Amino acid sequence: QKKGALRDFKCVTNNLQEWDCSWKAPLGAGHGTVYEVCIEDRPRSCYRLEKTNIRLSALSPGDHEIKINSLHDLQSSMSKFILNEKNVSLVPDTPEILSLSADFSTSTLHLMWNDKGSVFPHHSNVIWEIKILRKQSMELVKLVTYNTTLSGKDVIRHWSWTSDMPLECATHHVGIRCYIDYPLFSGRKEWSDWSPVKNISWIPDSQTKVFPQDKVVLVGSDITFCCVSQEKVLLAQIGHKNCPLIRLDGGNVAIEIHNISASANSGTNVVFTTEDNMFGTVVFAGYPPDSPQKLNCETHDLKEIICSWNPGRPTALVGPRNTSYTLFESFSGKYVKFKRVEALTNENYQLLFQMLPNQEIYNFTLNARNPLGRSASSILVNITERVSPHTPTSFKVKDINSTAVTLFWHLPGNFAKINLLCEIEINKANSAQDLRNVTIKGVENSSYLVAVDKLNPYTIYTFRIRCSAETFWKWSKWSNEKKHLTTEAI
Amino acid sequence: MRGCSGPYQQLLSQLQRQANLTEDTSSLLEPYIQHQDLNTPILRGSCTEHPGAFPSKDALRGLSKQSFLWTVNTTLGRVLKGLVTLQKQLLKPQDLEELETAKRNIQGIRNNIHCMSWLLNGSSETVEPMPTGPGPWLPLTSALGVFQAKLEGCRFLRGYHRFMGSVGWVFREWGESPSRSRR
Repeated sequence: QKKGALRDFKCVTNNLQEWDCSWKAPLGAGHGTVYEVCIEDRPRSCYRLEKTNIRLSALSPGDHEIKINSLHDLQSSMSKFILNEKNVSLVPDTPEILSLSADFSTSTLHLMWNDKGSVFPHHSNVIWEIKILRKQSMELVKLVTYNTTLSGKDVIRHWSWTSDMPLECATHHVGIRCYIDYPLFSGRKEWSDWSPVKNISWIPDSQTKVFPQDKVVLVGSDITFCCVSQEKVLLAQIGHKNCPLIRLDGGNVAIEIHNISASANSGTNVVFTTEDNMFGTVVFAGYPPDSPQKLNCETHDLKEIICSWNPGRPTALVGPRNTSYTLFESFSGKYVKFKRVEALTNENYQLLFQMLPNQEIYNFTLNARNPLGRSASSILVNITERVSPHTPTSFKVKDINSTAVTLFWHLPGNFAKINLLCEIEINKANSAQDLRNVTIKGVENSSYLVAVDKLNPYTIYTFRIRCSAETFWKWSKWSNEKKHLTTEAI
Repeated sequence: MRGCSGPYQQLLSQLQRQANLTEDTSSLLEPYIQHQDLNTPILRGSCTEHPGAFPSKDALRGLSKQSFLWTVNTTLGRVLKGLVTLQKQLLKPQDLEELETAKRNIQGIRNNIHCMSWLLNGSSETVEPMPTGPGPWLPLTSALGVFQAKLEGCRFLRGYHRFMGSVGWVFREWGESPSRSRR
């Protein structure tokens, strides 16, 4: 290195439009050194300055000679450099975090910053690197990259992260830096500096010491519980099992649970014990609802539709965390909610949906939902083809003559729009059973009658009847039997 | 009084039996502990009666018969409310049928207390309501976390069983006839 020569000449740009070039003063150069900077092939481009850096407009591609003459105590010394974009480093401005907030209930950090797109003239991919540190000792717990595009104007960026550990139990710090991946720039591209870190701590606002409180998690997942405590925590248990303690700041501790198993109805207790105290929480480990199985919709009376289903795999979640069901009919937009009758030992899953005037086709979707997820099953039915009549009642037999009778019965429902198919069972002692089918026009007022002939006079018969829709779906149950003695022939 | 039958001695021994029945923690507290998975030494250790939640034995013994009956009846009324709250927390009522049984037993005791009070009405003792504190109550889960609610339920039942033990004790001290005072 020639005596009096400048050292470490380098140029950096944060926006490709201006280059910040800097150098180190020659050895022995003291205060008052003046530098005359001239750029070859650039008219009137000489600058006199007393500092060791200069901001230049970006030079066109290719080599440019730059001469720097340092004048000190009547002595001068000339240094020459070749300046080319290739030797320039693209180092973005240090990002600035606008805000860091926390949703403690979900252990989520929300980060907001300005991407300063207006500084950079070109649309370009930019990679953000976000680091999350924990505890006062600032242990790195997460380093994540997040890609966006610079659009030539400032855009406020948002990013969220859900912590594995409840945010209440340890201070969390967040920093961010960026890297502009502009392909047309031939120089070196480097990361910006890290932003100053911002941190989040929980300010105790209640007696609650253990977190999370009353969380619902998927069976098999990993979960961290923690305890905010001034006293030394001696023991932590989940259910009846002791857990190794992870020491945090102060007296706070955490435990990590892996592959959690399903909870009982009352949940799984998690307990932290100190010398004089005991703090706890409950976790509910369960499953999302299965798709409702064997969804079936039918009607007994063409007034009310009954949809029934099988819930499938138990979710291990009950009470307020139980699965809620909503039956939605898409043509009408109507829906009904399932009300759980807790007292039932074996819960039967069914919903009643009032039939709609002049609507026969129903497109039902049964939505199941619990804190861990949702599922659905659908069924499209023409309800007139899904009639499962009630048991015929008020069944009576009246004589017409010695060889014929009239059967009367009541079939609850409004079947005016369909035909019914009824089957009459006729039994007589020492004789084969006689089954007769009859098709009848449905009526609104549920009362029906039919004549039965070709009987033997003065004979005891036993009658019973059952019905279905002519478009068969299901038989009703049999009515009660009616014994009847036909009159004597005259 | 309609529904009240039987002489004083029969009613008293019935009340004594009922008190003994409900004093027994296996009738409700133990099943509750099992159901809520509180069956560890640490959790059992913290399942203690809240001081002042239920009248003490000495306080009960210091009352006149009518006041004692009044206090027991009032306290059991609050216990019933507490049990309903507990049932809401239990998520699936059929998970703890003993609770429904306890409610029926308490109702039975209160009926007999009414009869006893009516029987004693002949006696000159006046009813001086016992100055009671907030009395047994149970916060709903929504006010607490589930864990705290479990513990509060446990402490509530611990107090209830102890209280019924004290009630049984006092009934055992009552004389053979309604007029003879205990002390």
